[in-house]
Amino acid sequence: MILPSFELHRPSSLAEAIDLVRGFEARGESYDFLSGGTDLLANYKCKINVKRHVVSLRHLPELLGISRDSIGAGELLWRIAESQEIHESFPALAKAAEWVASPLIRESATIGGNLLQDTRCYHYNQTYWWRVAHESCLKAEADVCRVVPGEKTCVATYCGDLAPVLLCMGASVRLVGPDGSRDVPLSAFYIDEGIQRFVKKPSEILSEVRIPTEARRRKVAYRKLRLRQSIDFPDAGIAFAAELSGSRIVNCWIASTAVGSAALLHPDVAQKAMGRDLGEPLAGELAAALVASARPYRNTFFAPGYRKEMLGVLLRRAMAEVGGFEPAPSQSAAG
Amino acid sequence: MTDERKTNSFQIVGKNAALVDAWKKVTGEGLYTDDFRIAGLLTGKIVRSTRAHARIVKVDTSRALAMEGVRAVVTGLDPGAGVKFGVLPISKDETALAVDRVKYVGDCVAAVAADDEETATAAAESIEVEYEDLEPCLDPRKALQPQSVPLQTKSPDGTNLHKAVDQAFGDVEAAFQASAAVSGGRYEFAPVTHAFTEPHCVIAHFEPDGRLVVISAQQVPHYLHRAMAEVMQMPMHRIRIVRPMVGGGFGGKSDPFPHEMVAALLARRAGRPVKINFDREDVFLTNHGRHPTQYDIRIGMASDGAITGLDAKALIDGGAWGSFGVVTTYYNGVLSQGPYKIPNFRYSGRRVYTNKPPSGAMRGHGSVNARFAIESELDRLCEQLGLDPFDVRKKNALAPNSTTVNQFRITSTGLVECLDRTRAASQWDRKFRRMPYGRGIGLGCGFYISGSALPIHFDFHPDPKYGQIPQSTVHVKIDLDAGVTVHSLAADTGQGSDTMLAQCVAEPLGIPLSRVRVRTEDTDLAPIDLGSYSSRVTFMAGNAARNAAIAALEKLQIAAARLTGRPAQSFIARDEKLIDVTDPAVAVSFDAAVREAMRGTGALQATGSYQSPRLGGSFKGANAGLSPSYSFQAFVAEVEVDPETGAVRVTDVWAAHDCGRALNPVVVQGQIEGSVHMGLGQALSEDMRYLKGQVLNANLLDYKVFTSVDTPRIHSIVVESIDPEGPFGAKECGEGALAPVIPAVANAIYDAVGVRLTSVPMTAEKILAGIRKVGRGAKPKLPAGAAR
Repeated sequence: MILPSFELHRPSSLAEAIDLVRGFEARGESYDFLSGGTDLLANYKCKINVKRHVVSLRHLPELLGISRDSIGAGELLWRIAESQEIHESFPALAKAAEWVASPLIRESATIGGNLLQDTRCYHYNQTYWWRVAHESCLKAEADVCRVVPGEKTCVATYCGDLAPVLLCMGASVRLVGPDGSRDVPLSAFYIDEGIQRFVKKPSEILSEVRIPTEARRRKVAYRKLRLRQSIDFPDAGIAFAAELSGSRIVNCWIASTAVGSAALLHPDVAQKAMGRDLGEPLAGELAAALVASARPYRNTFFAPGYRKEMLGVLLRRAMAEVGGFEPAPSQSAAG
Repeated sequence: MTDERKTNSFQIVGKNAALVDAWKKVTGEGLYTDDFRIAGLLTGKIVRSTRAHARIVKVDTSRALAMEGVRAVVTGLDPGAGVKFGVLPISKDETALAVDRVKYVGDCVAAVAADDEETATAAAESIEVEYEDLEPCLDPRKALQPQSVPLQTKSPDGTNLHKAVDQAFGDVEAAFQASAAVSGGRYEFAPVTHAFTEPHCVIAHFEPDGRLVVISAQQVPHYLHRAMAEVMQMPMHRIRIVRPMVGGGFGGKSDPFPHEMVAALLARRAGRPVKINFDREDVFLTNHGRHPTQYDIRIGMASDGAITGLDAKALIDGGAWGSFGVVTTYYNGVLSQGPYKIPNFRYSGRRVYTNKPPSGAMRGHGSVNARFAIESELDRLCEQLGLDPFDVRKKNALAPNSTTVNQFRITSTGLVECLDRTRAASQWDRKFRRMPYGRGIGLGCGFYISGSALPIHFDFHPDPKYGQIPQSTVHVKIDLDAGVTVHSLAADTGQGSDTMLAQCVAEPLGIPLSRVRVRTEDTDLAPIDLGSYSSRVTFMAGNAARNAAIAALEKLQIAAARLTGRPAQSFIARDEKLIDVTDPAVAVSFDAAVREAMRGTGALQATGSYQSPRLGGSFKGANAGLSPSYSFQAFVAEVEVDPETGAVRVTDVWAAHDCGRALNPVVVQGQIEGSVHMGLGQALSEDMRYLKGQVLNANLLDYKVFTSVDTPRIHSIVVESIDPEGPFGAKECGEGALAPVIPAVANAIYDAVGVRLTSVPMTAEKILAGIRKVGRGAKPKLPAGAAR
């Protein structure tokens, strides 16, 4: 497979990148941003939504830097996984970064790219020939969904590992575009639709992830389901965070990934935990409520029913880690 | 020459040796097919069918032909493109390109050659094929019914049946009547594929004089040579096959393939060399992987654990072509004749065509699926009768120098040693049925041919009424540099056969491997060897190499005699010298002996060959599964099952494999580890999924081959039964070690959580459903007879 032709631009500053975007917008030319390339270029090889221009963000100094308050969008996943500061302050985030894909991919992929990772589907992440043979899908060339016949919205799955953890940490993202910059809380960033995906405008660049100081008070855990312990995207993922007073939950957050088109907080489920003791009875109750609300589609490796059920197991294990009340019986699949 | 099989005083054999091509591989200097650079080389691309079953109404190539940089376009109407070929002469049903009908999504319809990949891809995409859809047959059960349009036009009864095999020995029903217990069930196998590292790649090139050179990633250059001659309608001597380094085959590069023919057709039309290098998706669509199978089995057992009979029925999904399928249909039955004594046996196998990518040979060909069924049922019987799984297998083990009811000749067997050593190493008696809920241990045994005694082509048949050409021939050349060149067509596909040949030549000549160079890549230079399939290379090419070296040694002994006045027979070769055994002070250096031997004759040449003995009975199908020797295995797997998720983690595998003498122990260990890894994939994760006949996961992200992180600790136990006919006592080690790991894991899962799975892959979903059915905490009880 070869990359289709596109014009590659390599600006050396954020301002220069935005200038390029202004030009494309003015001329009505299509473009994409490129960071690690592990997501975008794989899709390009399949001739998925290829644009005329590609703007590399690789060398923008404004997108670098790791601290307790902010992580540059261009930071590589392995650097986040190995950062002492992140390890000490937000171990669940370090772990989630360490669990992404494989070592090779983590050496190229970035946190910004992980948050903006394209949604995935058996009917979409295929070669051009495959899609022609299969009459394509809503997210690529066709106007119908192959997962849910008759569906006019896309149900492709968002499979990022970092988003649920950052959602539980109350993080926001900074978006910089031709019209200036804005901060959007991650909780208001994603859209649960496989094509729209998020509120970022095409012309905006996600420049950094901002972490509020209150995140330091939260105990966070992340659990994911996947067949292999490397390479695989999550087939389901749950982050759980709590502010505790003793074993009593003062506040808590639950976020899921890989069971819908977005990483999402589940405030209705988390609400049930306020003021309660963090322990197995509560975990079972929340797990049941979460499972009841989930609706994964048949477009990843494991069957939807299994993924739905595993959400409960993942939540109970994440809560157990935060509460220290029951060691997970096994790390084998739901690690 | 004394029979050195009985000695242990080897200098080369039995010692760990780095593969002779290892440095080239690790430095990147080695050339694989894609690395060849030839002036004017074009890129070829295949246009693949988007339909599972359809008549081709029209192929419009006009837009492609009009594109700048396009040098050739071929369709099924090109001369040769419709010539039927196939690896088995009895089942030739493939063509280079579809002539009037496509038979699966991915079938080759047309092809282009262009200056570069971008142009070739664009040109291939511009070719418009008009189809008239036909009803596809995707379910093998329906393939046995009459079809509106059968896949093969020659179908005698209008169904998609390809091959039927029915065999019976003794009286199975009567044996079952008299048995203490009979157990059986239906076992189901998802399609799995080889997933070798290097995708198929071929270069076809017509030399200025019109001779065709084909460079291809192949396991069997000779069969490609024959098929290429038929398709291109050229005599074999006008074709040269080159087999460069190959990045794994596992059976997936052992057929002559349409893309190889297409490259030659394109090269002929373009008048320029053409390369076709597959994407991973092409590899999945070419497939030839293990047959998806439904396997019904019953086994009877006497109260003392003796197996009374085995009754099996296989429905084998062949996909669109025949490939090795006739052999597969036999092997699914006949290879169940080992490693145990089966006094009464009945087998009925049906291989059918379906509108899917063809199935073919894959590591452990024909034995793997049956083994899962048999070893699982044996454990069930042990449980019913209160017997220990190890004791029962040991009791039933085929004896050395015995004959099975279907007249397989068993010579060496190390099965009992395999069982004893895995039992001890795995601490079986402390663990079986005794570990906490969720942890389990299980046993599985295996049996495999060490080369098929029956050649595919009658030219190589040992019977005087056929060709009697040896199945392996090796030439040894020794010139004034006193280096030894070994010529053979045995294909090193990464398994280390070049190194094996070097060892088998170096040992009799008493020289280090550094004096030996192996040339196996070129049909112009190499005498015919039937290639790397059926686990035949060590046994057959190894014997041929040893025989060639002994023939060369005789010339050196005569030279040494001339130089010393001692009798030629008194010289042995050791330490780069020919030494008089009667007086070790009398010795001639290897170099001096070579020089003397060349006097008046020039460079020395010697030939060695191997032909299987005539074996087996005279009933129909008696030849299937015959081998000059067999390998044996006993594996134990230990697992942890997560009862909440159903996920299974294999922590350890103790893998005892009887390979006769281990010529190169570290390579044997590598083969065992690779087999275990590959078997675990079929056991737990690998599954080619289909959507209306279209492969859904034709990539290595969605087709789940285990990573190094998922791979358990593998404790290789090399058992050396020392075969009476193998080279230095060696037999196969590349394939037999795959099958046992699947039932070992299944039996371990049962031990862990009481769930008996009868289909692979054994996914977390299936295990969880099983746990729900039998109840959490349902750990099986220790059999009464197993207490020690």
